[in-house]
Amino acid sequence: MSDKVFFIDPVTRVEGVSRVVIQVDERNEVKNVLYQVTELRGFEAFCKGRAVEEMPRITSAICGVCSWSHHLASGKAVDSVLGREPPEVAVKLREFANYIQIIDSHLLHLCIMALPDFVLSNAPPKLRNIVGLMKSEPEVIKVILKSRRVIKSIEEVLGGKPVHAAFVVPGGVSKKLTKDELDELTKLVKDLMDQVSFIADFFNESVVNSDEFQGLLRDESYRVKSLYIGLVSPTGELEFYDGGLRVIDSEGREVFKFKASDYAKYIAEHSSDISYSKFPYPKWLGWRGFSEEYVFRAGPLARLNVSERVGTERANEEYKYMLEVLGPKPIHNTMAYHWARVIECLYCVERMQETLTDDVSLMEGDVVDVRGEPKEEGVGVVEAPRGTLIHHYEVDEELVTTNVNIITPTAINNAAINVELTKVVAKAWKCGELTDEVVNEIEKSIRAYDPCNSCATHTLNTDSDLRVLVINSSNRALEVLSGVVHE
Amino acid sequence: MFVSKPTLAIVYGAICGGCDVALVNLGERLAIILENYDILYWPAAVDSKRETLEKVSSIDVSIYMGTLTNSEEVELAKLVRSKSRVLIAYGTCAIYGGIPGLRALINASQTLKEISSTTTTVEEVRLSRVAELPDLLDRVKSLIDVVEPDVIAPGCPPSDSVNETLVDILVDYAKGAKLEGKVFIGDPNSLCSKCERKPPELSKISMPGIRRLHELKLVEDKCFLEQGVLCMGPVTRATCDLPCIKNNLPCIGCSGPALNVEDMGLEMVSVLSSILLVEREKELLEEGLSKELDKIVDLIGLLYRYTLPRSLLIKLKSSGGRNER
Repeated sequence: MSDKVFFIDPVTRVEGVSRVVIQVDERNEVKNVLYQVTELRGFEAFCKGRAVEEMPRITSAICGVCSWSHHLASGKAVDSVLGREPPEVAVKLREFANYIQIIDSHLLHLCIMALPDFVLSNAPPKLRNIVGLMKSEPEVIKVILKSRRVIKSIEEVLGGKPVHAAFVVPGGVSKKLTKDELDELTKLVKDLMDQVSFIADFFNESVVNSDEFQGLLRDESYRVKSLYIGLVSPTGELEFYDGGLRVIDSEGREVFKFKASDYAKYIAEHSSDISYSKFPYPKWLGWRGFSEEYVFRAGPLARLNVSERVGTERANEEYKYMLEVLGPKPIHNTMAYHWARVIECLYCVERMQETLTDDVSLMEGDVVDVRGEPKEEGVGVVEAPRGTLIHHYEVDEELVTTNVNIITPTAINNAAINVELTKVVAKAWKCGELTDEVVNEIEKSIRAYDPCNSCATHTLNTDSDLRVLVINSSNRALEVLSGVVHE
Repeated sequence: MFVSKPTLAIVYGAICGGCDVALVNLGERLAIILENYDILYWPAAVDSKRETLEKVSSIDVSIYMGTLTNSEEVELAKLVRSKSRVLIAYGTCAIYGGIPGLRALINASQTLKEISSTTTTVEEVRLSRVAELPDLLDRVKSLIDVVEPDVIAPGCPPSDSVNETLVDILVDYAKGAKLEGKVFIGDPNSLCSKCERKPPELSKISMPGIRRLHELKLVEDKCFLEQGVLCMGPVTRATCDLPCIKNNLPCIGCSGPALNVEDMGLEMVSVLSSILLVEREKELLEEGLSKELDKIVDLIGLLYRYTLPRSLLIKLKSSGGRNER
């Protein structure tokens, strides 16, 4: 009896390092499918023993695509440890920074990683990428590349550096905005609004209406009837920086609503040898393996599913249109993540514009409040581009970290990605080989989550048993080894 | 001259993705690179798999990002070096280990133990050997610990000016220019040389004690060291335009050591000992000064935040290990 093992290594057009392992028996039936995050840097290990006030500028390096989110979640955790309340202006600036982070990451993903699957679906693999887009969609690529400069400039005004910013300090932000900076932001955000609108229109015309996307939306294999988790405002609106966490079940019923700092009562973590990433799961249900009713999903689609309203005009229109096509909520089709990203980009740029024209001046008053009584621990939660992000620090009397727990959105989605891959592979696996087309069908599923494998963690020991024929992705037999793949 | 477009591979160790973002943020300049090169491999943007790198006989230019944390990354680094005419170490992780280099003092099993401390359920799965996760290294490394690159582009991630130079190098190379020896991109002097907060006489900086970042409101135009706050400016290579300092936060050393700085931490301790409480030196004596230095609660995280794997500390620890054996 010999099984074959196929690899997609690495999964491409995603951030970070991961692979898919497919085990097939001698009758060519798929026995197991695994999504493996193969990179581990060990932040939770080496962040112990650090001066807690330095954490926002250390943990930002967990992810370069959502460095601002880690910087902000960490800042909130540090505030909580030090018992500090940032002044209103500082909170506004932090929220503003979180909005540009969401847009930055979403557009990067949509335009560089995902778009080729929809507008270049028939192109050869070699051109199914940004180079192909430059040839086939020169106007769109021009706007996309210009938007990079605008996004980067906004981030530079706020944090000096666009990636791994110098922005948050305990109890606030590092400096006030000057009049010149405010004027520059106003101009940049206007440009960004034009660019986001252009990309949203293009998405509606060329992606939503495409046969490719419509086909994927109808495809049952790209559907996971999971639980959803995300922050909502006190009035139940879409929220990225504050508010409480809300969990709904696959029927859309609220299961729990809780203070973000109480996360550990509701979220537990499972670890397995199959991945360096852990598997956060609903604590009240227990770990039930890769079965869809028992796994969480976080991120853009989850946020729209858990919130009752989208509080800005243009985004709300787009949201209603999505509900018309895909509703009622909760929407389970993973491909809707792409659509949700576009809606969130509109929402965030609208909020940024509001903030700049708000009554509360971004230039007045202190940007830091150093008052507060330190505590032994603190939790900071924000919605990062990929979903709920939790930083939890415990400290000693010198305010040095003794325990660090970080739950990233990609980890929260880890179990759901595995659930969905099994379905997608079962459908795509026909001719018994890993052709480029089959590979891309599988990767489309992963890509929709926009996983950031850099935000990863964990493993244990291994053993081996059964004989397995090993074949790489070009179907070339490598060697015969012993072992069993995941039972 | 190249008959067809030269090939470019972008290859990862353990990454955060920030270096990828820095490349994409080149915007219109990125388009110039894409026009001049055939992109052979770039997992974030292009659909070619690892076997592409294994099969290809040679690569014109490879850009390597990330820290080396596991056995597969070490193999990949060697593979890419052996096939590339030009290898670029891009970003501080590849050059000095970067922030993930802080794991250099924690071995593989300890790392896994620490990380699993928050898990509530654990599953031991028997995997086919080929599907096993790559083994973590007991001591994380930088690319330079394993192979020798031709171009070094520091920064976390590399700054605009570093990227501008790099794009020029790439475009010239694609047009047939030869690379002259090893290229180290960026101003080699210390950050202080460019800093507008620098007091008129550098040698007269006086540090009024050690203050932690949360203990004070930072003054917007005063030297951080003169406020008592650790700033790595005196020992850090000035490859950036001081974005952190302009944003009112001290330098944390992300570009690595300035020219002639062997070990960032040691050099910084020597700087501190010459400026710390200089006015009260006579009254405090060595004991008083060392008591003040003790207020730095995390020397490793502050002084070696980006360079631990390349530090003397680790070199000594490695040779100590050999002696023990």
